Amino acid sequence: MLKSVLTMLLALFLLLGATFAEQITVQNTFDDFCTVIEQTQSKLSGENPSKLDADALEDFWLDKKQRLHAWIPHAEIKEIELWVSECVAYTQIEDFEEAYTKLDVLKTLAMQIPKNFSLKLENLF
Amino acid sequence: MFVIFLRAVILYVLLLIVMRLMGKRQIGEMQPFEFIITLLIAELACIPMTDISIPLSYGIVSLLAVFILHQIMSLLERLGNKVKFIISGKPSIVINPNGVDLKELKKNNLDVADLAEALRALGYFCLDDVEYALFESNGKLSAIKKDIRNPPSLPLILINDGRLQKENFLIRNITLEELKSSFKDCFLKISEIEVATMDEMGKIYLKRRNLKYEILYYKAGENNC
Repeated sequence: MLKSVLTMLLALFLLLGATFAEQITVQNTFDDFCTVIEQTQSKLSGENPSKLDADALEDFWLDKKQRLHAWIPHAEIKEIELWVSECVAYTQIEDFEEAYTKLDVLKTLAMQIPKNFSLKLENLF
Repeated sequence: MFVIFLRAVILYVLLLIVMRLMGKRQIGEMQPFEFIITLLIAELACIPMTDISIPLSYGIVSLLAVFILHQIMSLLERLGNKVKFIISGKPSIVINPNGVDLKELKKNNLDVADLAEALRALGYFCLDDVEYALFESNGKLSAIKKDIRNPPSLPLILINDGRLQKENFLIRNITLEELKSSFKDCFLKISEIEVATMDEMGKIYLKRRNLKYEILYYKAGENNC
């Protein structure tokens, strides 16, 4: 019986640890991502937008997505990557308005994704 | 491809550890809650094994959750018979010395044809070949062969790990006080008794902690000491 209780408690402890790690990692990563998106948006809407303004965003995403692969479905990661790529592409051809629009969508996704992993009734069903 | 291979290896090792921790019952005969868990475990391991778009952590977490549930159910079963009967059900005596008990069969959504089929699988082709037949909680049928010269009887558990099985005391028409007065030293400390069973003939199997088992014979109205 003691073995059962101990192994159960260990499994529970690992589960809780993994839950907290997931919540914190995902939330913090996307919070930081939102900040970078806003910074990029302010650069693009500023007086002297340039082709390289979206590079910081792309670098940030490439760095963070590796860790995110462990926590969120890869399909979500692919979707974000798509919008980041579109934004970068439009920035490089200096279509800053279009790039800004893509960033709006990206920001919405970045705010929404962590909510999909929080403990809410709608996520249970 | 190698990624899928590695995921399969990780999940296989994890499954092995979980199944070992769950015990031999998981591989042998299963109670209903164990059967559910076995079904679930296969699916939970299979999907993240081959679908690399799903994080491996999802499979691991699900397996851990199922393992925790199994441990909780196992612990709850040990709390007492009532909880165990709710979770796993209890054996039904469908044939007794009076014959087929249709009521018990119906309680288990079975009919005589099902009973006959299960008996044939055990090698009994006539209903009167067996003295007792029980449908266990895992769905298997157990039967005791009839022996006219040496009629078998069904031992019932009176004490299980220090806990009295009051229902079986009633069935055997005996009280704890009668046992205590008949076998003074043997039934003094109930908490020290690991197992005590008694059949219709009054034969008692008694196993106390740290002692070898004893066979006692109880006859009502006699001093059995």
